[in-house]
Amino acid sequence: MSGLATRYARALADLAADPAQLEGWGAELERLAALAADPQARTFFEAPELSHQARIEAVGRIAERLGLSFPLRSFAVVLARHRRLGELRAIAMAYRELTDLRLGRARATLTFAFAPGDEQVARVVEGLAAIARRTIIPTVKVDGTLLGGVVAELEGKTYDGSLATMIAEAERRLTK
Amino acid sequence: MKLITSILALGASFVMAASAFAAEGAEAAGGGSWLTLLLYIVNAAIFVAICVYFAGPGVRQFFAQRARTMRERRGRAEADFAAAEQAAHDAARQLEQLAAEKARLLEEMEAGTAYQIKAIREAALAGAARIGRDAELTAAAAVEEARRRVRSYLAGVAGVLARELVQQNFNADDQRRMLAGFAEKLTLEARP
Repeated sequence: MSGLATRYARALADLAADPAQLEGWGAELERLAALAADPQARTFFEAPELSHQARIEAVGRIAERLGLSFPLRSFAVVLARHRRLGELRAIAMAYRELTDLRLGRARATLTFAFAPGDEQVARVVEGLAAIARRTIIPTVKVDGTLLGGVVAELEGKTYDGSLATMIAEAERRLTK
Repeated sequence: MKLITSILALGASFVMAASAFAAEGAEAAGGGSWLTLLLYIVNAAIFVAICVYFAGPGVRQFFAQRARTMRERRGRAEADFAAAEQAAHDAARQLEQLAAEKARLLEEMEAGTAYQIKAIREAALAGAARIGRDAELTAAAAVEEARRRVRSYLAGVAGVLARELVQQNFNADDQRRMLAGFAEKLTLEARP
């Protein structure tokens, strides 16, 4: 995450009065970033024949059409004015991390060998929450090559409880 | 010297005159008078005196020159002889030195040859030992490599079999147990 994206994200997050507003603006920022990442929109915004002022006005209108709140519309215009629309994706990610941090949350990716039940996800999430000492927001995936068990990724650290890894480890020990 | 030359010349004139008188008397067969003899003697003396007067210095100079030349030649011959003797002496000394040098070189060559033989022998022994060690190491490495390959192959086979067994027999209960164990591990890790 670049320092620039983090600075913009922090500037927006600091304006939020409460957690609900913080979350709501995050969702709006995600929508705006998704639109800015669209190839047609990128082509439009990067067109050399479009003047800087026209680009700013276009961003303002698009923000209105998206139904964004006033702070987010203003934020989009500021980004356009400072020629930082290309950083929107990174800013949205930084904002999400900042929001998670402020609301005491952590995001984890859980990859199961079989589609898990809610109870199984909850048990793993509970274990991760105990480690992170924060609320875990899980993203669940299924990968049959794991053969069995689960692999959890939390804050850059991997907790591997898969059968595939256990067998590979056994193979490695046998080879030694 | 001059006196001796004069006496010799005078004596010679007498002999020559006597010979001439005798020869003439013999021809006359009747013999000559003493006056004639005296005349002959005087003539001979005059002749001898003239010869001595005119030819003497030249002859003396000739013989003096000759004597000087001979003395010089003798001196040179003696110097040459001395030089030859010195050269012979030097040559003999050099021969002795050469013989000593030859003996020394021979000794050094023998010592060098012995050293080279020893060095070659030691190098050959060391090389043989090194080759032996290398062979042992190579053999050990080959054995270890073979073991490693066998272990790797067996591990691969075991892994394939394990995966097949898991795919055939792993069920939902197994998955549940695994997840329970995993969650338990996470909880344990969370403890300080």
